[in-house]
Amino acid sequence: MTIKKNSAEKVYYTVIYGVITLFSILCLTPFWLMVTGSLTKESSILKNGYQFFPDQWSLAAYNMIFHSQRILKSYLVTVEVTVLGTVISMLLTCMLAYALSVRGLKYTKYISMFVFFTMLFSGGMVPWYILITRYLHLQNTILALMLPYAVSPFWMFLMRNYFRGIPDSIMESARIDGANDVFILFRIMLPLSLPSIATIGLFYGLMYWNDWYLSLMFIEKEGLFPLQFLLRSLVSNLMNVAASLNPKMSVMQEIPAYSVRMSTAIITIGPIILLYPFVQRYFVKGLTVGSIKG
Amino acid sequence: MKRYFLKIIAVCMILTMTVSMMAACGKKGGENNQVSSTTEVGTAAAAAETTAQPLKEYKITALFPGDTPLDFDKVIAQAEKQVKDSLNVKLDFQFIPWADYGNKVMVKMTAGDDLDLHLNAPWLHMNQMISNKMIQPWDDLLAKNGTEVLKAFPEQMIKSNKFNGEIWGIPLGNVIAAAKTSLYAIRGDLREKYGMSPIQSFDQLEQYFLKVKENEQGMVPATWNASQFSLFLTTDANFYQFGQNNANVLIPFNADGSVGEIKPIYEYQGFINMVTMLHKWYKQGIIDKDVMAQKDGKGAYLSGKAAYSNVDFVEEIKLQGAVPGAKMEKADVHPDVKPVSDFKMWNFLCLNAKCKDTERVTHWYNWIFEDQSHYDLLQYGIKDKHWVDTGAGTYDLPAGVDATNNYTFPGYVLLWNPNFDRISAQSTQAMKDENAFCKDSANYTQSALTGFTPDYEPIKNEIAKVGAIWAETILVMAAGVVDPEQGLAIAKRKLEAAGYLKIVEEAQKQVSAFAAAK
Amino acid sequence: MKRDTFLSEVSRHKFIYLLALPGIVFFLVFSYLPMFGIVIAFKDFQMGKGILGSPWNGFKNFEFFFSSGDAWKVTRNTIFLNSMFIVFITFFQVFFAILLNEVRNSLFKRITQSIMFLPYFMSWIIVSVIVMGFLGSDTGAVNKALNSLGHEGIAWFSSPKLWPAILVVLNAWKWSGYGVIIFLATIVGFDISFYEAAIIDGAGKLQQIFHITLPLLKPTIIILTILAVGKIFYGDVGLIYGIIGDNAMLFSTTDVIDTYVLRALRTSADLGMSTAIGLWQSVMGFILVLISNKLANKYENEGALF
Repeated sequence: MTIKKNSAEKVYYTVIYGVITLFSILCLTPFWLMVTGSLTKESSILKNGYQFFPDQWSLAAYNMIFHSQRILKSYLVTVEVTVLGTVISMLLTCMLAYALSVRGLKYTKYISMFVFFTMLFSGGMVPWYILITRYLHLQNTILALMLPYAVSPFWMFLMRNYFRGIPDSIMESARIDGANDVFILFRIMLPLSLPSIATIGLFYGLMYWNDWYLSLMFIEKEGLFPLQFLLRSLVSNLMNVAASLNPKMSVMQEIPAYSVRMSTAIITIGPIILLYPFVQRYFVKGLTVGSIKG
Repeated sequence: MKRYFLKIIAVCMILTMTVSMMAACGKKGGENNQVSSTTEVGTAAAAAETTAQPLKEYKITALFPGDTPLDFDKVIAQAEKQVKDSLNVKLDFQFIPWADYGNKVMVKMTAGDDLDLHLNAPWLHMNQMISNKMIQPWDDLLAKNGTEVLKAFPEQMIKSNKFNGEIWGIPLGNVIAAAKTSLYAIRGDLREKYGMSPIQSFDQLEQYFLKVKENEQGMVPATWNASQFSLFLTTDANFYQFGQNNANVLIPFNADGSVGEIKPIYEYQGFINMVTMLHKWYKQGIIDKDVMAQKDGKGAYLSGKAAYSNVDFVEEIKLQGAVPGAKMEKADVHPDVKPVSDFKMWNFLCLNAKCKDTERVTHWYNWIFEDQSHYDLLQYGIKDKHWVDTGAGTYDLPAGVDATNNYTFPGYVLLWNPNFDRISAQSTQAMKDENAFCKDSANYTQSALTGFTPDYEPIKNEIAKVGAIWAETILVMAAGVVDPEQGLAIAKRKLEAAGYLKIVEEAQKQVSAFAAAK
Repeated sequence: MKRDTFLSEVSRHKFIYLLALPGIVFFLVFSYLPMFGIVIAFKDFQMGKGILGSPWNGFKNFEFFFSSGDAWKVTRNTIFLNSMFIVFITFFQVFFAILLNEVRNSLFKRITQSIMFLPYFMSWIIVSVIVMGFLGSDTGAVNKALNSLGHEGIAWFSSPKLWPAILVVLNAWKWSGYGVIIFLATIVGFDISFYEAAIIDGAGKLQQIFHITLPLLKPTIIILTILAVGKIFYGDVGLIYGIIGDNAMLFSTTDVIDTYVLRALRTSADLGMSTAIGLWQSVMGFILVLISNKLANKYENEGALF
């Protein structure tokens, strides 16, 4: 009996580890190309394309980016927006998601429809721009980088789904003990939902970190440009310097147009990938284990 | 304890948010800070000013595509300082990445934001701006306060770039006309290697390509980005494109610049000859098999993998970096035909119809052309820091300055001018020759369509319908992939179903009306 | 009488509705206030006159799309491709989530989960370069491998039939890591006692997966699917335009509504026309959501949208 079970288990685990490893290689390889691409000398890229082991290394792409005095300030802006924005978003999202997750209420169904409708229907760029600049006067403020995207219907519904996964009996017993819903949300639901909070929080964080559209539309003052906007500007400019008719001849071949594209992507992804393993510990088993017996 | 703490933070945040939102609502959107200046006005340039009154500071706002140049704030500060007493303007110039520029400008203008100057062009939304009166013509303003501007331009340039007879945008170009369209950039070193004389016809071009195919392993003779309307448009030397890039009628020119017959593109002999030749080339292996999927044709040429591209001499140095000893050469397949041109520029500087102080803006723009040094400051940066004067209309980098880390202003967004612009001292002879050629109107035959302003509003539905299927009907033939024997018939059927004939009719109508009105 | 029950319901659960209030206000301000802009779909929008001042033109903005003869083809492609995406992407996300959940070694788990997340960050523009490197007719790695084995290379970029599969593979590759995070977070919340009871009853690993994990995942899968169905009329432009671009040889199977409209309006940027088609896509998606939501309510207890 045990021998059979062991060999079956061995096969089972081999297959699992094998498949995961294979897929990981598929995911890592293109990324590896990006990393080396950002560190390859531009003339080598022109000659040989992107290589797994570049024949000529160069930090020119990163130098070009970090040379810009505005980079440091933009990092600060992005970090501030990401942290504050995520907190605000999580707050609003969890409150709304919890409210909609409670079963048996009469009007929450309509609120859900109300929210979902906005996922599909929108008035377009022009009214939205006019609202935010002419009526809310948010342009050139940091709020413009946070408020317009504060609640994502998609992630709110996902959060609602996670809340619904927590057994009703927990809430019931709390209510019997006299707790109101605000108390339930903050002192019971949230502590039990660490993995989901980590998940949705991660996604919001990524959204704020990667966004350049809000700053494109609403920021025109130095000192408030986030990282993504600068990087996008830089890449766009490089492509055009390459095509401009004012040649700075002797160095034209070294303008790191291709490698900069890679390095801007690495600079964006880098902090996240480095941070993610540390955040992963929140994705562990929740606290519902054993909370309900019998 | 932790949870209560969290709750308190939460409540505080919501309160702060609400309060600040309310505060923002109460604030007035601060645009132009009207700060009264105490200095007296004494301007030499504005001769029309009779009363000396302290000018209130005015902020000129502008939006341009590109990236903010390094040290831009220093250059702007210099420029502002130089006009502090005479004009007292602040320059608020913003840069937006190219990819997003069109959208942002449209939204800002529609919303009525303060935006005095911006770059626009027929290929963007200048025509809509004109018909909606979002911008205003410069004619009177230049006549009164912009005499230096008018002087700076060759007469031909201003005349040819009017829209419906008015100057709706300052034409921005450092040459007066485009280079010949019959030029094809090839590898001069390879041509010499095969012992061929300079290429002067499509047949000779074909010979060159076949030799490349035969002798150079690992190279594809020709490839280009499928998304560009083919660089091989027609076997005719000169033509006009009525319509948009992906929905148009090609109108051939006769040698004297007059307009030839206007026909649908699939019946136009020049196009038919061209796609027949291209298909032959495709079958011979001259054209890249994957040309329709190509996204970086220039890159292929510059890295030595292709023997032809539509690059400019500016990038020759890249080619030489990848392939030492390579030489970029432009073959002219119509060497005896003079190019026909309507001298239309690609970019225009537009003035907002709602600009609050048009006189000041025009004055300031005039200042740029009052003296070469003003133009140099904005275009090249601070003298001896960002550039040095090497005489005779040239400039160079100061010793020890890294080109990738220097002031680079995209002149084509604000002030490019053929008379004021300098050439880099490091230009190759080929570049200098091309530049000189494009500045001399004697090299061109004037097109009968000079000053013609097409109106696409009546056919915008057709342009949309045709535009959507242009790639699968016309581009596939222009890439050489589809056999014109079937391709032309299919194109005719599909394009006519999409309303293409209406575009052709409109072209005929507008062109004859223009000719009659002259 | 009606007013009575409304007020009493709200006051009975006042804290719940209070918690929902900030979110509702957010959507009112940022989504519903600007929503009047939808009328642009029925107007001849002129910059100078603004949204309210522009003249109405009925359904004219829809004409360029629906009278083109291609409307059916691109719509069919859009729905077909999106359906394939929903099915296969969900499958792989659940598949990998379950696999990862079985992994005992915490270090391996963390590292591979991070690695699997990487494709999410790669833009399609960059990926298209890699795809070219693989599928190029003469220079591509795949054809070179085929040649060395004695086979002829395949003309990938002129064979439309192959591309739905290729696009599905690419999209699954990109979104698997992202989905793993979502599903793992769900799985981690399951009550262990279910599994303990099953093990006592002698259930093997596979049986646990099929009889406990998957059924417990159903609500999450259903809600994600319904949300995706809402967007089923929206083509994935980033993917399709980034990879296929203007390669008309492949349009018969890969051209979707959004890429079609992009080409049509590329040079004229007519706001009325683009808004009109967007409105149609939204309405169709909304109808499908109502239908699938009703089905979900009927056959499943959990997971419906509303």
